[in-house]
Amino acid sequence: MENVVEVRNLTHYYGKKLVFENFNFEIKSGRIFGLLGKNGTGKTTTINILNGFLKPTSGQCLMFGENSYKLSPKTKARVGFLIEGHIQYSFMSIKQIEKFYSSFYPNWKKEPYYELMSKLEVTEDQKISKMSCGQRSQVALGLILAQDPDLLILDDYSMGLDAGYRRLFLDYLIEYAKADSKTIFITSHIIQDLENFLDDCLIIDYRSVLVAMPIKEFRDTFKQYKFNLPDASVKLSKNEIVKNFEILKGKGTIYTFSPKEAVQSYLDSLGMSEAQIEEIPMSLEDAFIGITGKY
Amino acid sequence: MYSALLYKEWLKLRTTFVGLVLLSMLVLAYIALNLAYYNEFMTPKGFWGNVIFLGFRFFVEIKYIPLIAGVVLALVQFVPEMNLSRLKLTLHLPVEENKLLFQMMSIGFILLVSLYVMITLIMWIIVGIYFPSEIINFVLNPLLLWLLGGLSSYFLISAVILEPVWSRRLVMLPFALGFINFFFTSEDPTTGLLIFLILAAVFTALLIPFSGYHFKRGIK
Repeated sequence: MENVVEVRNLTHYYGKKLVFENFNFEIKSGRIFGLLGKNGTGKTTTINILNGFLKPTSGQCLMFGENSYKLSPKTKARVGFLIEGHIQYSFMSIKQIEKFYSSFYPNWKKEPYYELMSKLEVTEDQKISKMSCGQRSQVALGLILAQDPDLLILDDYSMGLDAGYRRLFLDYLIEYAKADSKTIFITSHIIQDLENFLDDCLIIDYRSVLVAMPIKEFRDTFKQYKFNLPDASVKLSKNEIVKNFEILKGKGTIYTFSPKEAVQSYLDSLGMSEAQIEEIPMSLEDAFIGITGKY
Repeated sequence: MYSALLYKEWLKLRTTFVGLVLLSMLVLAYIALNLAYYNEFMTPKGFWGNVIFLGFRFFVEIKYIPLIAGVVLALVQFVPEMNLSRLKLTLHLPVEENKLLFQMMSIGFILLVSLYVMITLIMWIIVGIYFPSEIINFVLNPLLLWLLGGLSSYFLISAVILEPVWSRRLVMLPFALGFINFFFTSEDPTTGLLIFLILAAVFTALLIPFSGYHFKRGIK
């Protein structure tokens, strides 16, 4: 399967502040790829680099085999881009903005745009600036669908949207992506929405990659174990087995990719052979918080 | 594609442009009324004498209109682009980035030049009612200088707005204001000076892609 995006040894600083170092990932054609991370971990920075709006300090970022900083117009036409906050030209109306964009894209299909607009309580002459955040998100999505790109880059599509609009957004997106084998690169703060949507995920923390794997593999292999921890002096630490842990009110929690036996052995080594560990099922959001931590 | 960009910029600028045309017409009407008044009450001989021997600038009210037009057009055209980084939408269009910026700039330039041509023609007509061609040149020479100043203000203020780094903006702004001020303080420019200032005004246009390059590089 062809790599639509390839990121190799990407390092970026804002002034002296390191955002990430030796960042590597790739997005295969036809996959829905989620970049997940807490605020300030570099998600939007990554998207800006991918779209050529930021020159990385070092490393390489290729989109359809082209250096993302010098994308040709032909390649840019293959990429649909949703800016964080569903930013569009707010002085235009629904009809005007469709007319404007249609001139730039050879594969322009206005039907999906107007189909989406018909679901909104708006007229074609309504200005985007007079619309709600949810309605603006549908305009932005409709324009991307009409562009018919091979790769969709969606920066925090869920920002400011209520549950209904988030669902509408994803329902349309998934139908579109699956029908035409489109590649999607998406970030969001609402992890639970992406649970049954993503094919692959990349979870990043400050300056490092925590997880890079298919979402199914992550759900199947990342586990949460709880146990009693009566002795408050026991010191847990992160290591090959323990990817993260919490101690709260006499209860310990370990997040791990290792099997239950390995966790038990680790606790044994700490003199806690009496500890009864119990696996707790996790949603994707639980797993995300488990690996990144609450703070 | 250029026509689509023209359409977008026109939608953004049309109200402002119409407002600037109306403002210019008002000022020109005021100058025309004043001309009639001076001609009537100073007598044509006295009025001519004041203009020829004392350099009476009966048209000075138009002086800052080109400047206001240039600055307002730059603000209305480019502040919304920088607000919430909307320029990313434009630069993501499948057209070479510098070409896009020049095309956007050319649309502001065309509107501004249309306004300036209208001002010049009306001025030429109303002054021509009372004066011979020598006096018309006496009016059009400084007017040309102010129009060039207005054009430079459009280019320079656009470049300042498009510059993403605040510290650079703060450096660029005094230079821009100083340069623009030159057009409005120079009296009776020679032909050589006018040619130099035309070239300088064209040069200021090159600063816009320079600021665009900083935006594109993500420099903050």
